[in-house]
Amino acid sequence: MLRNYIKIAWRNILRYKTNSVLNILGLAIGLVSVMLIALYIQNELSYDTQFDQAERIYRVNMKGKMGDNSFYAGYTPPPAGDALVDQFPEIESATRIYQPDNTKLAYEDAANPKVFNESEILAVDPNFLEVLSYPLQKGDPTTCLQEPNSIVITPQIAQKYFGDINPLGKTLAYGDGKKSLQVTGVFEDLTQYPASVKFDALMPVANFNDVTYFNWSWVWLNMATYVKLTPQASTHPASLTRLQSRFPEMLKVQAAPAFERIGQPFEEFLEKGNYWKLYLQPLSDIHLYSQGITSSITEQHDVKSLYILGIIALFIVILACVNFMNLSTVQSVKRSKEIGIRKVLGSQRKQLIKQFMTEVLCYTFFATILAFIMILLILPVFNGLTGKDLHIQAFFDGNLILLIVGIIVFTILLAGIYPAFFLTSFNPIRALKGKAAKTTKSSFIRNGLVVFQFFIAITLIICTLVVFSQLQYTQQKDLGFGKDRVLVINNAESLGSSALSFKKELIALAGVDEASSSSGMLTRGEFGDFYTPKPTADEPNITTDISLSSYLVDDAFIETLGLEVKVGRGFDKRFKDSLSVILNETAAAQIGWKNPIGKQIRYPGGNMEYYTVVGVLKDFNLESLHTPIQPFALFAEESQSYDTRTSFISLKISGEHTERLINQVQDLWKSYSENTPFEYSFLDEDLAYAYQEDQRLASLFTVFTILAIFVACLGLFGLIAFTAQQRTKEIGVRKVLGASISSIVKLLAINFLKLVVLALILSVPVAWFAMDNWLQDFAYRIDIPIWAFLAAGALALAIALLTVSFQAIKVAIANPVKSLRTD
Amino acid sequence: MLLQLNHIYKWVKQGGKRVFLLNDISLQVKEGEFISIMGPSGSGKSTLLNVIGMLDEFQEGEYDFLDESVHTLKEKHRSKLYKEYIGFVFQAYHLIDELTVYENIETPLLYKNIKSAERKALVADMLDRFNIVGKKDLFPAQLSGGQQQLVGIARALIAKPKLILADEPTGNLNSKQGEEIMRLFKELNQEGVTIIQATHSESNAEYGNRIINLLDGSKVKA
Ligand SMILES: Nc1ncnc2c1ncn2[C@@H]1O[C@H](COP(=O)(O)OP(=O)(O)OP(=O)(O)O)[C@@H](O)[C@H]1O
Ligand SMILES: [Mg+2]
Repeated sequence: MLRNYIKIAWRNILRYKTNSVLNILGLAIGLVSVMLIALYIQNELSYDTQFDQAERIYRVNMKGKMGDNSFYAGYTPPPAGDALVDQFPEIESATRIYQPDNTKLAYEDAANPKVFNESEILAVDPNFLEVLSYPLQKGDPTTCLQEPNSIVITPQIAQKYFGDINPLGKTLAYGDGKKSLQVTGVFEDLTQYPASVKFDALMPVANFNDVTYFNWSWVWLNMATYVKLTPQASTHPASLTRLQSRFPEMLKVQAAPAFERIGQPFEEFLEKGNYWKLYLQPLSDIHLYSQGITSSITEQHDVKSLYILGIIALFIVILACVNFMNLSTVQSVKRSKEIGIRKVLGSQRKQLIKQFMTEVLCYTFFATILAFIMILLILPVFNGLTGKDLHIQAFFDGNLILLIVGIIVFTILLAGIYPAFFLTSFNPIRALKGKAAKTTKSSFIRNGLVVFQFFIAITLIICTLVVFSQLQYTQQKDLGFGKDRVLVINNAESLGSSALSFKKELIALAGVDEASSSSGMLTRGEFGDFYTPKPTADEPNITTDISLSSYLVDDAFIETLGLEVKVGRGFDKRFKDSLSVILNETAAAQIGWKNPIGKQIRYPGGNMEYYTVVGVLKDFNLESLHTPIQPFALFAEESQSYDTRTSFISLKISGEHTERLINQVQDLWKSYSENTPFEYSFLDEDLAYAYQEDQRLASLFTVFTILAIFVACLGLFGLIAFTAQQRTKEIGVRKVLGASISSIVKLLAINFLKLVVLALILSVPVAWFAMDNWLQDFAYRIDIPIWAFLAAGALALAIALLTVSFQAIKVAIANPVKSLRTD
Repeated sequence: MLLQLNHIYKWVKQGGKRVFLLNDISLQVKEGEFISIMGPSGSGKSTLLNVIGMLDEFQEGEYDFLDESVHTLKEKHRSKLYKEYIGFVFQAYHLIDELTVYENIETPLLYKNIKSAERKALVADMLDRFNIVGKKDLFPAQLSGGQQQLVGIARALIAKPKLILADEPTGNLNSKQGEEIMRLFKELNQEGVTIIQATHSESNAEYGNRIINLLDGSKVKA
């Protein structure tokens, strides 16, 4: 029987070619979308799950409030980890990560020495690999980070510096101090290793004096701490809660001396409504559930985007199924005779349903094969788009294959059940007369399905347009500084005292308008600490503690970056500015100063010195529009208020002959700093990088929207083709009676266009709601533009019209005599 | 007694009024009979055959087939009954276009869950009997009308029915082809198959041993 079913299915596929192609293509595209999105989501979900005993590992996060500022951070003070292990038996071990600014590595033993800036070198505690079991290819995870002068590298780094020589035991020089580090381990290839902490090399944290220096501090938040709990504590949510409820007590004891030292008695600090808390975040949550938790060590995505993609995938599959249902039911006229005969010959309804399900199975089978072929072709492009390295093999290990099978079964059921039941419901006598399908009920359902398809397509179009205009907006919004034509040179700290003459020479180059050095740079992070503004007689009621992020800058910085001084002045050589500070408007407003100029803030984290406000800057964004503007300050370089060890030189350039200018700057750099690679970027590009995640989501959105629209059009194409064919005779008669081609096109198209308009009306509120929700994530956002709705409507109408016209014209211009003769 | 109709009424509602398609039809058919139903176009011949074939409902009356009361049976049971005992032959042949001659003849056996080997033998016999072995791999569209009807009859016979219902089996055929089909029916009848045919042709009706005349859904005396 089954063979018979398959045979008939096969012959039907061949016989109704257009229909088959539309069905199979639609289903295949649906499957491709689901499979791609499933691969992507699986990859995202797998982050940090592959470590040994991952379920026992947690990141220690910090949440704090100081005056008007509150924050969540994936950072802790340096002593937190040890203190936790000390105080709580439930916490077995703790390990810390520190992200050094300097990432320069050199191999000097070779005949031709190699020097590079690596993108990511992390400093960790010796037990790091015992907590987070990154796989090693060479070396012992328990000992390879014991000695301070050791370094463990990825195979890519090994290849880059040592070629095919065994890297174990070789020496690399780190940083500007050229500290010698011995390679004690090599990782497995980690490029595909889904971990939220990514790196090129690990070295012991003992190499970094600032960490050692701040070992007393409970306010210096620059280290990520991971802890491993006992099996007992990690499996019971209640014991986990109990454990965390004891953290505040510990902090009160431990953090008090540190707060005292920065002039902020802890009790007093808490009484003012501030807080300073530690809490645990499960390792597996870090990658996707860390919105609002600051961390530059971990790769943090938004789980929302996974939901969005998942929904889109589901939509596309449903669209493809709807196509299938539509195309099958409109075919029922053609098929009804066969069904009638079969019933007369003794087929039970059950058997007919089986037959139709077998047909769906065949279509799905071909669609699946086609989908896999398409995936093979598309995957490299998709990887480029997502920045991932996904492989088709991933389908065959793990649960993904089950998911895909599940989706295929779902497709078969969804696409098959309605037609199967619908087609087999006819009375055999009526079926034999071919009258079966012309019921109003079935055309109602069919129309409903068309509306549904266009509803989804239009909603996706609107959403895509809104996402794009938001991105456009964020990238073009006035950020409060001149981001164009600013060239930023990294690693300027390697210049040491020669930075001054380097700057002088840069200014002398044709095409350089300004040159400035600074300890920080927009998008690259900033130094942050607590300050205490000093009340004065004229303004006694002010906030007396504030956290400020800041840069140390020279007097050309404001000019170079195009910042605007609102009141007062910028730094100036004519004054002695080592004890001056420039605030942004937000900082001044938060302190509560109406006349900030001449007022003072004290720096308890330094030498308790006072800085006098000399100017106020118009607010500008330091990172991206995702983050709101925070209190910010500029200190003069010569203040040496703190030591960041990073330095940037920024150039405002004229923008002419940029290529040549960069070469000149590079040559100049080489003459000053032979051993440090020349690294530069344009500020506007750095800013764009901050939107990479949004950009990526937008491109994914677009791709799948296009697919959804395509599938919807396939369905419409099939429907209209069928309708036109069905009405061939009528059209023939009308033409013989003198109807024009345009009137016939209109006759065929008008009905479908009505449906598209209805879909448009339905999708407007849904898209509005969805986008309004999405936009809430942006600190600066657009109003949902009306034109997006108009454009989406116009686009959908145009697409529908095009599809319809193609078929309608084909039928309309056919020779009427011929169409009358065919039955 | 093969089947018995008692006061069968079938009507449709049109504009609130009942239009009778079958009006008080009573009929007894014994095994081995060959009955011809005659009457003008629209008189209800097809309707009556469909009712006898259990393909169509009726509103009033009783219908017994081999001592089962059809009017009280559930759809599933009814289809089992006609699958077992009744074969249909149509004026328009109603072969399945996507299937070959062989497969068309085989189809009823599939629905009776007969094993593959037995199916092969039965179909081969049938092809042999109707001299269409050479055509077994052709599709209906590749056959003449007469040949298609032969396939239709072969298909109706394959499941060894007690009763064949033939609705104008020669209507689409020329007179020579028609005669061949009628002779075949006669032969089958002599082998013991009960046949009820609807026909317009007096000469075809003569092949049967009883004629029933219909007019506007009612039986009339000849
Ligand atoms: N579903 C229906 N609704 C309304 N009237 C119907 C329906 N089916 C059949 N009829 C009517 O019933 C009458 C009998 O139809 P039937 O097909 O049985 O006639 P017939 O004797 O087979 O005619 P012919 O010799 O032309 O085949 C006709 O007048 C037809 O119009
Ligand atoms: Mg008739």
